[in-house]
Amino acid sequence: MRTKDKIIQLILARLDVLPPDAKIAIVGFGTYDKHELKKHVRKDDDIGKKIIEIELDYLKSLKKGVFYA
Amino acid sequence: MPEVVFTRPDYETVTHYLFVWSQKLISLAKTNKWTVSDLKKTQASLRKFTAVIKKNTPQLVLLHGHGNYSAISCQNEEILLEKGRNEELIKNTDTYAFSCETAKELGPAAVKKGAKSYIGYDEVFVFATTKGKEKDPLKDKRAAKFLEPALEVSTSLLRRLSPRTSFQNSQKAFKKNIDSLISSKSKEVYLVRYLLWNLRHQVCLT
Repeated sequence: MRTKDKIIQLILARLDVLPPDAKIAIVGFGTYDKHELKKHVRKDDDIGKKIIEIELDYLKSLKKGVFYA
Repeated sequence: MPEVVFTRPDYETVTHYLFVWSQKLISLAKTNKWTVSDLKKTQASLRKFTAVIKKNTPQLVLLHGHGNYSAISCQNEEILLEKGRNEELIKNTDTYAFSCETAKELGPAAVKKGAKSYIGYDEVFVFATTKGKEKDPLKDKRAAKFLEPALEVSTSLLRRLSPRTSFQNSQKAFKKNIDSLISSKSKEVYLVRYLLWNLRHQVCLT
């Protein structure tokens, strides 16, 4: 599996933790539930790319120990 | 009395949340003896904004709406301020743009043209909402975790605190919500990734 595909699988799994009644509003784009977010991530469109960026940014922060500083 | 100008468009879910949540700022402004120009809904237009700015020379501008790197919009996506076109409209003001991305290019351009300060976000602003609460956003506790810290900038500025202190108060409020989520067993802990994103991308330009 390519690295990009692995990243997409990781992000899809992380989006699964969103509760069914939650929507994510991205100012400038719109509001999306987890199924819609996952569709955008799979399509790798602008919204999908932004969601991937946010998730990877967070994971990098965890690695850097941002919550223990 | 000093003058504050608000733009508060309201035409879809995201702007509706910002519109409803910013309503309390109007009464706070009046309590703190500001003269208020509240350009809401269809009044949030470039024509009205320009007229108010030129007539009243406000000290404080509080913008709500959609944005991108170089522009912020008002009602129905009309461009309100755009880098290279009319950013000088907010010269001599402290401005808070509660929108996406405008601190990337529009904010620096406005400061270069004489804005005293510009607080905003250099990336998309993300918040969570709850299905079924769209008609009553003030009851949406999930959205509150994001909108309260973001509006801390406005409430601090309206209390006459400096832009830097207002920015720091907002940063503290974001951190407080993050800490509260990660130190609890809340099922809402997934929100932390979005709170941290907003915290990191909020900037204060002077």
